[in-house]
This record gives sequence, structure tokens and C-alpha cells, in this order.
Amino acid sequence: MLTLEVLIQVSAWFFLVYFLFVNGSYIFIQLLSLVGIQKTLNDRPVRPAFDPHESPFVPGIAILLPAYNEAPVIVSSIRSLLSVEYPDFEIIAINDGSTDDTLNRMQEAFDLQKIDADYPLDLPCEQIHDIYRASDVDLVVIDKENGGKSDALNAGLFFTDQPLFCAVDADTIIEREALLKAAQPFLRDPDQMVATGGTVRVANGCDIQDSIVQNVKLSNSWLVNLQVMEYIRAFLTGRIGLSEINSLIVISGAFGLFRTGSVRDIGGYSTDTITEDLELVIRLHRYLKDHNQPYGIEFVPHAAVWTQVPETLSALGNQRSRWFRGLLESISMHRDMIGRPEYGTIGLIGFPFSVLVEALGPIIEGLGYVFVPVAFVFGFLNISFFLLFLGVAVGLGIFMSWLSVFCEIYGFRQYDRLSDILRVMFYGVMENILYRQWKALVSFGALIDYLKGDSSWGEMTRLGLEQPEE
Amino acid sequence: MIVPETLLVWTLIGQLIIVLILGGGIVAFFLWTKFRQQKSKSLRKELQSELFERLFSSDPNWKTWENDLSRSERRELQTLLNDSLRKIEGEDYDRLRELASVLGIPERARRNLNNPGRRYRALTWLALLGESVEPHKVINACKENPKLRDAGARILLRSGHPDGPEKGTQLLVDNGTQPLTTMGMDTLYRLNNGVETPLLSDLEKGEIRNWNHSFLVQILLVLMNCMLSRALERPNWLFDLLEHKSSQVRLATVGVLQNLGWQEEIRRKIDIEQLIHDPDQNIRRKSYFLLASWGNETSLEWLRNTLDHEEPGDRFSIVKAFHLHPEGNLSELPDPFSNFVDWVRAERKVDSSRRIWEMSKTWV
Repeated sequence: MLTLEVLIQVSAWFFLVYFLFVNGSYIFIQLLSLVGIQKTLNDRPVRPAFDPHESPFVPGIAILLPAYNEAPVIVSSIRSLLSVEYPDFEIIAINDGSTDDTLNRMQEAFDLQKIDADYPLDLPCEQIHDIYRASDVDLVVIDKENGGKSDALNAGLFFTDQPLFCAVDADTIIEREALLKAAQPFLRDPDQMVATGGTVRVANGCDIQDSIVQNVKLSNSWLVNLQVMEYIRAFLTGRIGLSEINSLIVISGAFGLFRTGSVRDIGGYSTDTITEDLELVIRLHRYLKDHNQPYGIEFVPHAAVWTQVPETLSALGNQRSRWFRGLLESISMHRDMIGRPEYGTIGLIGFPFSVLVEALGPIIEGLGYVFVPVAFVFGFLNISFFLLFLGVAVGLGIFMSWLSVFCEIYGFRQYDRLSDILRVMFYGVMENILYRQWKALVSFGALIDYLKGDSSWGEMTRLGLEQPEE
Repeated sequence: MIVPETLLVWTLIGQLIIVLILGGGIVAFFLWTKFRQQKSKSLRKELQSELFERLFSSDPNWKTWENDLSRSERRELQTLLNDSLRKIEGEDYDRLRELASVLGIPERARRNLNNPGRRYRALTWLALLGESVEPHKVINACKENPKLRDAGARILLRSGHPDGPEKGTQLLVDNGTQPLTTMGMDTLYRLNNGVETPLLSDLEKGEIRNWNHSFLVQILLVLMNCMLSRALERPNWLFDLLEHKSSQVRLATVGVLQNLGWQEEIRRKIDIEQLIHDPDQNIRRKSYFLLASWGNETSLEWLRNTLDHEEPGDRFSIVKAFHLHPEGNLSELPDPFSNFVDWVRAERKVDSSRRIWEMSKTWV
């Protein structure tokens, strides 16, 4: 009994220290994001007397669009990309062995002409069947054997001759100016900038016509709106904060802009991981630090894309499980970077943060949900203390979520209706009731799957982003 | 208990207060910014309508209009003016400049050249308005960092001052250690494209000794795009750069050669053998296209000399260069090149039937 009491005391101290560390880190990052947003706002009012559309020095971009069974969305996605405002770009859609109508839909919509010869260079990907060019627009379609998203991206990345490439998802709508905004760091620092990432926003519920988000709104789905709150806190303000201290270890696979040569130098995307975006950026950091090359990787919050998020618990669970397994994979692959000063703020802050907070966090939280009932059963739990502590924890969670909502209004104002803001704030409260607990459970399951060697993607049903015509 | 309950109680109370204040603050801030945004939007709409009505009338009478403007209207109008100056040319642009003058923008901008906090905005306004500012004043205001130097050089470009190209070029290249921004490269290009090319004088004087590799590459990229005003008088710097230890410098130099290749004297002196056997594949590839751009029998002969190259990337580029060469014939290429020839022919066939008038990007 004494041993158990000691164990519970030690565990309690551990949870408390961890709790203070995690929440302190999150609050610090959210406050940093305010600094980052203010800097962006300071720069914005003064546009330079320079039109990038007329300059021969704006780097060309290849937009890589890997597509596997994306028939409902592929045409609208390409049309959205074609309307992007950027002086010099081409779209390379890679049909990754789709078993549905993806290729046919592209052929019909864009009058694709097959290049009637085998591509003479070996691309580091699964077999290429055919390559097509569109008649009226700068679109290339590579039709290949299925090899996964990384494999598809590698096909495009090693095919293009453009100095930059942008990886996007097929269910993504890019805002018209997003590419130019994401390219700004490359224009400011053409020599050293290696990668930039934009903000991913939730398209579900928005009015979308002609591949443009006409009206930003929340969905009627509580699950989607919980994700809206998460995306604002984690993918927007969280990344702004980490970028401020050069500790960004991920650029979203839905929208990232990279220097082609740098990614080729590291061999392209890894096909051994299920979160290729995270692993690529960590490997870029590693390579450039190892070779003592000065470089920049930045988050550009005003460059936004809109994407469809899962609307069912099972699809969301699959997605979060994949993300968590991918995080564990990437950590494991590059664990020797953790805590090493030669990797700068990535080794000392960014990567340890990912390990201690994002990887361990859900697991320790889950252990807490076990620990509390055990302590209660053995009579060691002080109910009033527990409830007070729970109140403090929930209060901190709400504070951070609402702070990120303030940052969103202050810096971006995507949601223009008070009712939507109030609803997002409401979900900032509600996510503490069962949603966080459910996510911790998913993470536990993902940990077990990871230990068992599961590297599956899971299915996501594409609904199409556009409203059906009346 | 590891933490006293009273501490938790006070923490919880404090949190509740902070969260409630934050929540209230969010709502209040949202409503306030929404109100301002809507007001600004409607004001802008009215002002825009009035602006363009006056702009296209026989007499805009800016002064009368300006006298009646409130402070917030004036502010919105300046924003509109900033946008419009970027899109409008000719007489209408001159009229907008008059409006800027009536609003006192150029005078304020000149005063703010001495104000570090407002300097960049001031420089941008002066560039947009094409205001003439004495070069020494611009240079004094702009030395601090690349962003200011870009903005200053832009003024010298737009002002039409006779010393503009030379002084603007100096402003941008004097540092030589911090890379230029894309705007800086663009400005340098425009300062050197056509009537004068002060950059060439700097290069001929040996200024490159003070430049780091990255900066030198950027300068060469600018030269690669410029229509040069004269032949090179002292081209030795060019040949020296072809032997530079940095492959990026060598690559950019080949690009400049492509621009200067019409000078027979330069063609004769270039060591083509060295270029087409450079250890860096990108340089070899660029050299094949250089030979294609010369378009004569000698350059075709040189291309034929590359047929023993075995690297697939080289072979691909050689075939493309043969295709681009006016006297090149894909049929004369030997069997090991057949896959590449098939592809180039098939791609050419598809390109010729496309309805957009530009070469595929893979051909640069």
C-alpha cells in the first residue's frame, strides 16, 4: 500500500510537471504567434513598387498534384490551380494508378494529348504508363502505377525543370494570390530560402463556386467545427509561433513550396513514411545543417488553401491515426537530431517540442485518464482537488483556443460573421469534453498500430467541394 | 497534496476572469474591426467612383475635391491612389500624380526620408510617383539594408535622372555581400537593359573581386536577361568566370555568354571543349543550348563532338539542343540516342498542336 501511495505521489508530480511544461509551451507559442502576426501586419501596408508579374526573375513553379481516386474533385481542383495568379507556373498532375475515373475526367475536361513515346529518363518512382499535355493550358498529366503519395510527388519533382515546386492535395482549393504570397520569401531571399508553407483552412460549409471560396462559413457539422477550432489553434497560430523561433519542422502536404534542387539533393520524398510532408522537412533541415548551408524555411500565414476535412468519426480517426503514426515514424527515423546543438533551434526546440508535447502529450493524457480512476479506486484521489485541477486544465485549454481565435481575427478575419466567431469559441470550450479524450484514445490506438508495424492510409471519401448547380 | 487547494481555487478564479475578459475582448474587437471594415469598404467604394469620374473628366479639379475630404477619406484615397498608380499609365497616370501632389504625398515622402520608421514607405511612394530625387539623397537614405536599397534604386530607375542607371546600379551592387531581393534584381535589370549597361563597366573594372559567390550569380543572371547596349570592350572577366571554382558562377556565366554570343571575338576565345566537359552536368547542359543558340556550322560540329557523352541527362539535353539548332537534324543521331529522339519528336508533335504559344518549360 505504501509503495502504491508513493507511486501515485510520484505519478502526480510527474503529471503536474508535465502539465506545466506542455501548457507553458503552448501559451508561449501562442504569444509568439501574436508577435509574428504583428510583424506581418507591419510589413503588409507597404507593398514594394514592383510588379512580380512583369519580372523575368520571379522563379517558375511546378504545381505537383498527386491524385489517387480523386474523380469527384480532380477537375475542380485543377481549374482552381489554373486560376492562380502567378507569372510563371505549370501544373503536373500525377495519376497514381487510380482505379476510378480520375484520368478520364482530366482527359475530357482538358483535351489531353498523349506524348506518344516513353519518357527516356528513369524517374525514381513506379512505372510510368503515359505522359499527356493539355491543349489549351499548362498542364502535364503523368499516368503511372500506384506507388503512394510520396512516389507520385517524386515523379513530378524529378520530371519538372522549374526551380521551385509546390505540392498540393487534390481536394484543395488554392486562393488566387496564395502562390505569390508563398513565393514572397523566395523573392526576398532567392539565395537561401528553401521551403515555405501556407495555412490550411477548412472548406466544409463554405460557399464554393467555380473553384473559388465565395463565402467563408462554418459547417453544420459539430465534428467539422471542432476541427476548425483545432486548425486555427494548431495549424495557424501554432505554426506562426514556431516559425518565429525557426522551429518549424513541418510544412503541410496540402500546400508547401520548395526549392526543387534542394529536395532532389536529398533524394526526394521518402516512400517509407506515411507522413511524407513532415519527414521531408525534417530531412531538409538535417541535410542543410549537416552541410553547413545557410537556409530559410518559413511559414506564410496569409497564403491560404482550403481543404475538405473528415466529416465522420471513423474518417477522422483514420486521419489522426495516420498523422500520429507518421509523427512517431519521423521521430524514430531522425531521433539522433534531438537535443543536438549542431541542428540549431530545430534540434534544441522544434524537434524536442514535437517529441515531448505532440507525441508524448496524447499518450500521457491518456495515461492520466487511467491514473485518475485507479487513484479513486484506491482512495488516493482527492475529489475536490481533482475537480479543481480539471477546471484549471480546461480553463487553460479554453484560454489558448480563444487566444488563437483572437489572433485569427486580428491577423486574418476569414470568418466575417459574429455568429461564426461565437460558434468557434463555443467549440473551443466543447473540445475539452470528450473530443480531446477521444483523440487521446485514437493516439493510443495509433501507438499500438505503429508498434505492430501498420503503415496503412485508411480511406477518405471525397465528396467534392463545389455546391451542386441549382 | 502536491499543490495546495487554495492555490488551485485562486488559479481557477483568475483563469475564469482572464477567459471572460478575453472572450468579451474578442467579441468587442471583432465588432469594432467589422464596423471599421464596413465603413472603410463603403467609403472606398464612394471614393473610387469619384476618383475615376474625375480622372476621366476634362478637368479633375483635384484641389476642390481635396479641400472637402475628411481625414479618414484622405487616408482611404491614398490607399486607392497607391493601388491605381500601379495599374494605370500614360496621361491618366500623370493626372494621378497631380492628385498625389495635391494631397501632399511627395513633400511628405521627401521629409520622411530622414525618418527611419517611415523611410521605406516614403521611398515606395517616391518610386510609384516617379519623383525626381537627387541621387546622393537617395543613396544616403538607403544604405542600411537590401530592402531600402531596392526601394532607393527603384526611385532612380523611375525618376529618369541622367545619372539614374549608374547611381542606381552602384547603390545595388556596392554592398556585394548581401544577396539582392528579386525586386533588387528586377530593378538592376531595368537599370541596365538597353541604352546603358553600367554593370558591364563595373565588371570590366574588376569589381567582382568584392562580391561573394551568391551575389555574383545574381549579377550574372541580371546580365543574362539584359539587352546589352554595346559589345564588351574588355571581356577577360568573362573568360575568368568560366574557370571560377563555383559551379553556380560558371553556370550563370554560360548564360551570359548566350546573351553575348553574337560577338565573334568572344566565340573564338571561349574554350568550348572545357565547357562541354565540365564536371557539373548543369553547365554541360547549358553549353549544349549555348551552341544551339549560335546556330552555325561550327557550333553544330561542336554539338556532334558531344555524342560520346553517356550520362542520360546529357543525352537528353544534347538531343534537345540538336532539335533547337537551325541546322540540326535529329535523324543523324546514333542509336543510343533513339529513346531521347523519339521523345523529343513526340513532344514536338504534341506541342505543335497545342493552342498556347509558348515552348514547354522543360526546354529552358
